[in-house]
Amino acid sequence: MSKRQLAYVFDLNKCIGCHTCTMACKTLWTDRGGREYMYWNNVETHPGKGYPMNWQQKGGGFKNGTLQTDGKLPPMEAYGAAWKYNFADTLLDGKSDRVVPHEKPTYGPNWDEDEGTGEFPNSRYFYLPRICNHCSNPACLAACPNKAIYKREEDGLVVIDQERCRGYRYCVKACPYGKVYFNLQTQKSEKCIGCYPRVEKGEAPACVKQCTGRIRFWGYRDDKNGPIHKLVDQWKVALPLHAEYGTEPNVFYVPPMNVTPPPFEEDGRLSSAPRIPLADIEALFGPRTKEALEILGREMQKRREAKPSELTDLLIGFTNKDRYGI
Amino acid sequence: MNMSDNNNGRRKFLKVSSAVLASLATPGSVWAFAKIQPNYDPLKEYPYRSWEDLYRKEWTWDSVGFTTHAIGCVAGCAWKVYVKNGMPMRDEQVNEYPQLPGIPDMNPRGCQKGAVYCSWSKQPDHLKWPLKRVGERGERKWKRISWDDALTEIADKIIDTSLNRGPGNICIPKRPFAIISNTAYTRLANLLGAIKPDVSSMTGDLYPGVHTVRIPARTVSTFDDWFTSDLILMWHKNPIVTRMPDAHYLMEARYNGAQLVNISCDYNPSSIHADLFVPVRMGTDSHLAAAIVNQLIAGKHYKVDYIKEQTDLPFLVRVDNGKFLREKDFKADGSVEVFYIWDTKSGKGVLAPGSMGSKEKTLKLGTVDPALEGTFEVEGIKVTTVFERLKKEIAPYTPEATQAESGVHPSVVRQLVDMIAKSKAMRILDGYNNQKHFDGFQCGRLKMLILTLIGHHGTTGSLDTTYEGWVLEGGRDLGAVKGKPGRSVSMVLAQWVWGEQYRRTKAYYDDSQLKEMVGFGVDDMEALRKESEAKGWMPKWQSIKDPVVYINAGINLFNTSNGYQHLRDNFLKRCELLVNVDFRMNAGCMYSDIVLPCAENTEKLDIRETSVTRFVHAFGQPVKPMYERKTEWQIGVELAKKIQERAIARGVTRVDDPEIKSAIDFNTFYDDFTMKGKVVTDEQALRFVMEGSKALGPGSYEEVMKKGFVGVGPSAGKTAPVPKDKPYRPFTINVTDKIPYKTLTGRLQFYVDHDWFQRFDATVPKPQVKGGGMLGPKQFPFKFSSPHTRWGVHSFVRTSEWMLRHQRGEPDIRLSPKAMAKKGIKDGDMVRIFNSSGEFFAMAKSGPALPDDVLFTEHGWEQYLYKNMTHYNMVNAELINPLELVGGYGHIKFAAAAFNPNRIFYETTVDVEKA
Repeated sequence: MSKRQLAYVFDLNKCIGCHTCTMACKTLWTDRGGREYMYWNNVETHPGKGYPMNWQQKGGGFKNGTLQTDGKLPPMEAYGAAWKYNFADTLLDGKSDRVVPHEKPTYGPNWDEDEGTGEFPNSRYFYLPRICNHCSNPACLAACPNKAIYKREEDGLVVIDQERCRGYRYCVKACPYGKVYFNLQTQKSEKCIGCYPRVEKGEAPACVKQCTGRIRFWGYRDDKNGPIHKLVDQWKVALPLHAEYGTEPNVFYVPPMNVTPPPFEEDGRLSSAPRIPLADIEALFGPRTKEALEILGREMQKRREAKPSELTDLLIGFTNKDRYGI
Repeated sequence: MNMSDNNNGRRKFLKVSSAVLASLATPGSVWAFAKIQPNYDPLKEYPYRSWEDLYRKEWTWDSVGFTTHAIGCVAGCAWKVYVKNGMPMRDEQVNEYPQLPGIPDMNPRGCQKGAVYCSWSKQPDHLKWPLKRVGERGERKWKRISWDDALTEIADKIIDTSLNRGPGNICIPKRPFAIISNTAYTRLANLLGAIKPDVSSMTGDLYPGVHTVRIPARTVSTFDDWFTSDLILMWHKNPIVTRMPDAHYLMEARYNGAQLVNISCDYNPSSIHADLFVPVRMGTDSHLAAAIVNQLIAGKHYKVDYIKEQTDLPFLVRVDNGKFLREKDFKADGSVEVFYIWDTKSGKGVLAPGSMGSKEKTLKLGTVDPALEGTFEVEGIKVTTVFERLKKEIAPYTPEATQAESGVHPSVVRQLVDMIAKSKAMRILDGYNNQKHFDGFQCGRLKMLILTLIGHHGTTGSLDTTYEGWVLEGGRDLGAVKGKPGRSVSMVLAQWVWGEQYRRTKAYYDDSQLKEMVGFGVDDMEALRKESEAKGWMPKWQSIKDPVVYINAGINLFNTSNGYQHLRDNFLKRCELLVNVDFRMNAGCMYSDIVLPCAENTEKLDIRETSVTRFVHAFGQPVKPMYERKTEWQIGVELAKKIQERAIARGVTRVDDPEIKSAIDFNTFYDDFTMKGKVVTDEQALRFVMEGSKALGPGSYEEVMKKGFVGVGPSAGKTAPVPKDKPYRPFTINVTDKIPYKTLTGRLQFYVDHDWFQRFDATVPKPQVKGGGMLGPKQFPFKFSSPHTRWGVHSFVRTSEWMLRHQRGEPDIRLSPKAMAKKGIKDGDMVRIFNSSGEFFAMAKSGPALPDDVLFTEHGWEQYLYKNMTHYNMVNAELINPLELVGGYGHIKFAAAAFNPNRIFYETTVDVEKA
């Protein structure tokens, strides 16, 4: 174990699917040098195929403590290409009659945006932002035959040594979240670095600090006064994504409230069923989902009755300082 | 997990690894790494960390400056721009707004569109130097020309046109919403007596219906005020998509005890965060609103004292002719703008204070207690009250009766009414989509009525439209020229005439259907337009002038309209010189004769004021204009200089302009533009604006350039002071200080007795359209929805490759899985969307969040991204609501950016097939 561990909480009830986090990351780290197709941070509509496509079926991770070797290497089509456009030809030289991507688009990081499932007006979807989980038991690290992946001892961030990496891609296969990428230009694997150059200067990661929906909480897991400890350990409303993969993620999610808005009966009356079946959310966040949602519901009801709630104040996160810091 | 498990895991993995390795196309040798397997546990330690400098070096820069990206956006966000090797490299929000007590702060403001700006600005669709057309218009063949050549050609054409065709045949629409950039064109237009089209109605952004109730109609709280609500209706507005920097206030209000309601025809991204979703059939919202009003009145959920004082609901209306009872009815010299209420204490009709013609400038009723209901007689004239009229006319709109129109089950209406009745601080977020429907006019009045009946308007709540703007006298003064007013017009009417939209509308709509649903057809509409112009209600310049020289700034010329190719062809016939000023080649620029490159967001020295926050934001010019771009104030200055220079060289002095009692002074044009050298540089112009505005004043220029934003003072508010320690909320002083509203009755006005309102049975707010909404011909089975996009501010940033990569890479159209199956269309297919007006092509995308009869595409796509240069607006045909042509009635008269026909195109129906 690293000496300390940085951790994140993403509140899905606040996520507006704006992708500012993605663009903050993109323009800082991955708009160049063979990283263009990568989204270290992505936001996907759930249910949906996600990014990379069908990552939840890609395999990897651990089972009963054993690293799984059946993880797939997602093909390039599962990521989608970083399309280039013929702007100059069309607009400045009149040589083409349409600005088009250089190849026919078949998939991308947000291909099934706002689709979800269900039949109108009982449709359902929510946004799931994802970064590297900076796991306490990273499958990528366990899979690297060259020991080029490590946890930084001072903050627990998982990074890939770009000098030692030999591009074997075991890590790409082993990460059950599809969050390790292969850089075809440098022939090395790359992934979210937790913005360590910023962190070292006391600055929050770009995706956290630039999140305009203010859904991201960040800090050391052991900081008893910090939002992570309070939301994860004290209030128990934030849960890891697919804990069953056995990697012990350090990104936790406040699950989306599933009962609202109420769906409709055939005749147009409101139904008492939940909008999103609980099982759908449990499939992501495990058996403690129900308890977390109950706590959240109870505390929100308190506020509707004008009683105080420490939890809702925490989730409101009035200032930057309330939401993140180290 | 414990360490030994993990080690076991890794050993097991290595044992089986050779087979896997064979399947990987990797260099290197299994044996090589096996031999040098180093002895450390990477979970705990790592011996080779010097490589980490690699990423550290990527997060470096030379300098940081400020900008904002709010030129077409109303959000207003402070951004830092990191500059490296002279190039703007990356945007990041400033993140330093102060907090108001008890309210979440605004950090960070700014969305994904601002975040990619620097990257976008380096794309080849961004302009570098002036271009002149060498092929046909639209052929996109150009030659690079010098600024001097470009400005000389434009200046000569302006002079020629004014001499040969007379003043007023020059048109300057503009929309680069930064103060001095925008005002450069206002000043040019005023000095030239040019036509100044209202760009708000052009884009369909007006609220003429709400304007009849309150002035100004387009008013907002600062959006941090959302946090103070306990009930928020998101109606015709999808703030999660369109108001990203402020959307957190909705979620935070919810955590603070508020309930969110989303009323929409689709299950949109704002619906997913709502406590109640109300699926209303597209275009029938007025019926739902009427049902809510019906139930509020039936259940007596209205605040009697409040509506007696703040509204015209107790005003007396004559039973014989439906007109307000006026002072003029009894005295020959009485005012037509003074009205009566019935005093229940004295049992007689008394004059109401506070109306436009009243000498008593107060809403205070003193000892008078006005009747809300009943029928009375005042000196032999039988009268009733507005409230009585309303009650009677709204009575048929029960939840049961309106279900057939709106599709909303009565029990859902009652649930919503219950929430409204119990609310202590309710707010309506009223978006731009309302007034793009024909019945949006009446629906807007009904929404105001809902909020007013329960007494929340100006007290504990607000009807927040999208945008207002602060009072900044310096901005006004920079544009205004004494004795030179220019020529304001409604852009909808201008394009109706110049673009011959009438012919197109006539060809598309089924007149008998229109007559059944609204009571008149397209020919009537055209006749009413002419009547309005003849009466002087709406300006008539479009009918007597042509856009011979058209200088289009910051507007995507045909994108913001309808019937792209039709409009373009007819418009271009009348235009001899089309100049586009922009920082990139938007689709409208393709048809230019001359394209002038203006400064990028990162190259401007300017400010942007929007009133959704209390802050004004800096374009702090982190870099000087690159290539041959110029700031827009400088373009104005240099064009003015060239006009004066050419005029003097050609011996041209003054051209009289008697139509507007003005003149064009060509030989002193530059001196006049620059106020004799007072506002030549950008800094001079900007200081003129900031230092000349009470709400900013001396020192504000320095502050905004130092921090990226500066707060406004109390006087910035149009309808209330901006408080220091809490969010701004409009119209509060009307309630606290009993100050009359700027309406004819001096009240929140719900009765309009104008002849045309009587003629179209619209004196009170109630639905105008019947028959299930959507006026488009029924033979086309789909309603067409094209609301604001998540992926651009209109077309701004819409061409960013990063944005395109987050969509389908090309324009898409969404339809429900059932509709797809019915039409034999699969996700990813290219489809043709068509009606008798036109067609366009797009990639089909599955939309389970849509009803089966709605086709959905987000707006703002560039024409050149479509197959065959089609465009989504090619299928749209627009309508004019005669209620929006009215004038000569107190506050209901033409006003740019306030009252004139809004662009109504959400009544379009289409069909779709696999292409």
